[in-house]
Amino acid sequence: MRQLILAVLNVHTLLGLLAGWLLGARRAQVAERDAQAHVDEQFAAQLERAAEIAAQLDPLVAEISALNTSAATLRESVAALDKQLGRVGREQFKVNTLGEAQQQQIENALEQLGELNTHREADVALLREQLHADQSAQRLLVIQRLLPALDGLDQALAAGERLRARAPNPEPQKISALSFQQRLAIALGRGEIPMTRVDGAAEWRDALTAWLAGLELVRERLLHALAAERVYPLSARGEPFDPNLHIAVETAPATDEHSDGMVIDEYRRGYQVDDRVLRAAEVVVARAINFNGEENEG
Amino acid sequence: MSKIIGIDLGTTFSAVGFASQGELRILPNGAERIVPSVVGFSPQGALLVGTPARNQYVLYPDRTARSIKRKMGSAETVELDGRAYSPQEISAIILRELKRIAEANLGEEVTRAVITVPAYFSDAARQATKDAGEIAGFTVERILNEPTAAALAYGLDRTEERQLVAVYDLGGGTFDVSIVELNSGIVEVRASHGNTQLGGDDFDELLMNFLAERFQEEYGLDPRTERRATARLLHAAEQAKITLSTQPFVQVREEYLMELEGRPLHLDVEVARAQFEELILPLLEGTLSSFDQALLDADLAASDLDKVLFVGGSTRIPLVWELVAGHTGLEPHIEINPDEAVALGAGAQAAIIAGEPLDAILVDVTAHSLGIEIAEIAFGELIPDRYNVIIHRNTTIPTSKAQVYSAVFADQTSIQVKVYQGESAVASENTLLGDFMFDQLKPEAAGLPPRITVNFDLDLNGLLRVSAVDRASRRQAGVTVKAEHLPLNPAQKEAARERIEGLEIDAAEGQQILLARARRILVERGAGLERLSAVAAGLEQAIETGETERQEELEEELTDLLYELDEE
Repeated sequence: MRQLILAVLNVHTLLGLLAGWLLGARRAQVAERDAQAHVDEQFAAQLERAAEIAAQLDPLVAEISALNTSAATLRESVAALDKQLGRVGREQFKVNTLGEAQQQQIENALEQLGELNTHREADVALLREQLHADQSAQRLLVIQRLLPALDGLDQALAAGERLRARAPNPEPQKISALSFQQRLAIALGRGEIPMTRVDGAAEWRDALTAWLAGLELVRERLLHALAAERVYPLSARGEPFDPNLHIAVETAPATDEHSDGMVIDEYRRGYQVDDRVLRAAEVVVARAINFNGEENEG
Repeated sequence: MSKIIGIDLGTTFSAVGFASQGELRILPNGAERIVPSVVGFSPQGALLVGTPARNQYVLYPDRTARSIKRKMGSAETVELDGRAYSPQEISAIILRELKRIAEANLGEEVTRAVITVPAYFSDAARQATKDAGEIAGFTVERILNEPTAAALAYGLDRTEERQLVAVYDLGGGTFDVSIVELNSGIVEVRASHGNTQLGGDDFDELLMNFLAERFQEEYGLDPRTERRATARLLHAAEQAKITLSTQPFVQVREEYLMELEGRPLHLDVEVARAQFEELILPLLEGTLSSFDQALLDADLAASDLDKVLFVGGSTRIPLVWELVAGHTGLEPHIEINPDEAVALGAGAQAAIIAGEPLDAILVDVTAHSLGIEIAEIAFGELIPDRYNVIIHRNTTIPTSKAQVYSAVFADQTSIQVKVYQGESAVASENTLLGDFMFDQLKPEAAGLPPRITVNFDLDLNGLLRVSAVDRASRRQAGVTVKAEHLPLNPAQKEAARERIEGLEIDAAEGQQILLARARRILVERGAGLERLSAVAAGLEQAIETGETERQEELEEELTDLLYELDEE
């Protein structure tokens, strides 16, 4: 039953649709005719516009192709730049690596220099000390070379003293050479024995004495210069013989004045620098002699 | 164990040698490097050893013993202060003093010693020396022959090849010459000959007599009649002898030497080296006879000798050098102080026994002879372009040597002094160091050619100061030159090496730096860097094989790899 109802409904609908189509087709025929004319008209207009647009397109295409070309060039440039950048970077890296190594070396060198400097300072101090010692040694050498000259001066002075001692001395005249009156006066205590006259002797002796005093001053001057270097003459004469300061070069019999073991005379003066013997004195020493002619022991 | 010292127990002087830190040196007694071998007692009974004992000898000969070495091995005794002493005991007192000196230097007790004796010493004398050492408190490690000690001082035992060496020892009072054979460290004295009563003291006396005779000729007085004058003359003679070893002339001045009727008399004499040489020549010829005798005893000829060593202070006399050089055809060695060579050699033996390392004794010497050009007259012919040596090669520096030269013609007023370095007898075949013109020369006497003294002064830096003095006018001229080819000493070499080091980084160093970095990265990052590892290894190999092109390639690649890693 339901199917029957549906079929009746469908026929009815189909009829309605057919009528509508027929009407519509007719109406469409008319409209199509109108539209065709309108489309043709429009098409012509469209064509016209298309031609216009086409005319505008050509320069654009040219432009685009130009753009394409320059883009390729740019890409190439970028690639080249990139490569260059890489190379520079590598170089930079290499330089940095070397730089680091150099830096390390410089640091090491600086450290070494620092150490060297410390050493150098110690060395300089040592050298200064050595220089000082060397200079002292050199000065001492010069002084030692001067000593023979000083010895000569000592000899000159000693010879001068001997010469003065030899100068003729005024002495009492012989009694036999006096007149009777003179002898009487002396006998009565009213006069003295007159001295012999030696022409110029007194003056000569005075002059020699003064001259020797001058020479002695020269010697003092030299000794003073030595003292500035802490070099002093050793005392020997009248001292007991000391084998650390004196070299015995001769012996002489002991007397009341010079007891056994005393230094009587100096051959060559000795010198000391500070507490050290620079040159021992060469001396003559007294020795006691026994009655049987043998030298005494001690 | 105690340190071991070496002792030269000499007739007139003794010395102590010791090796420390490989270096041989003398242990000094204050300022004295050698100690007189004299023992004495003061009147107060105090024992004196060395210089003080020697100082009192004239005063107390009965309390002083010297030259005891001559009595070693004999039964003779010496009476001192009323007591008899054997030679061993006297020697022991000297040795004990040397022990004290060594201990003062080293700051510790020393109980072991090597003691030297002359090669000609009898067994009895050797035993006596050993006894003396033991009395002094030493363990005597070795009794060493003096010539052997000299050879050790020169380090001759350290060469493998067989060597025949003559040791010529001319001291103050004794002379001997020994022939020593060295073979692979074994040293043997093959023969020894000498004169126990010859030495420098004899030369002093000959020169003193010469001076006394000059004085006598002038004043008719003999200074030898006065003790004081004699003592002064002996001093002067010894000093003059020393000066004549470096100078061709010496002025001997002894003012106020004597007096004649109150008038002072002065000695003022110039002595030429030639005059001194004439005096001592007969004595020196005697030493050459001993030399021949020693060679004969050793069954050798002079031409068999490899070296001649000089020992003893008197070997400093130039004539000794010339005579021995002429006699043997060898240049005698005198680099090591001849007064100290035996003690230093004993110190070397001590070091060997102690197992101490020992360096050769370093002395600065001239590597080449230095001299001037001269013209010689032979058979009436003038031979130009001859070379006259003033400083012999192997001379210890600093040194100063002078010689006198005569102009060729009497009317000559100038001389060109050309300074050469080298060994050829022909001057121009040597290296010319410099020259200078010496003009306005004056003859010393009419009709005689002028003479000049040429002095060579060579310092440690190889600077040679040459000066010439006109004998007549005392005018002086000179030049300073640098003696070339002086060998660099080790310190100089080290300094030079340091100077050139680290001046700039070269290619090889750049590679090493890159490799170092690569290695560091490989250690730090380890895995995943096979390429880096391979390239680094390749570069190392290329450096080893020296392929430079491959090195460059790999260096490039290594740089890239490291750069990339660095970028990450």
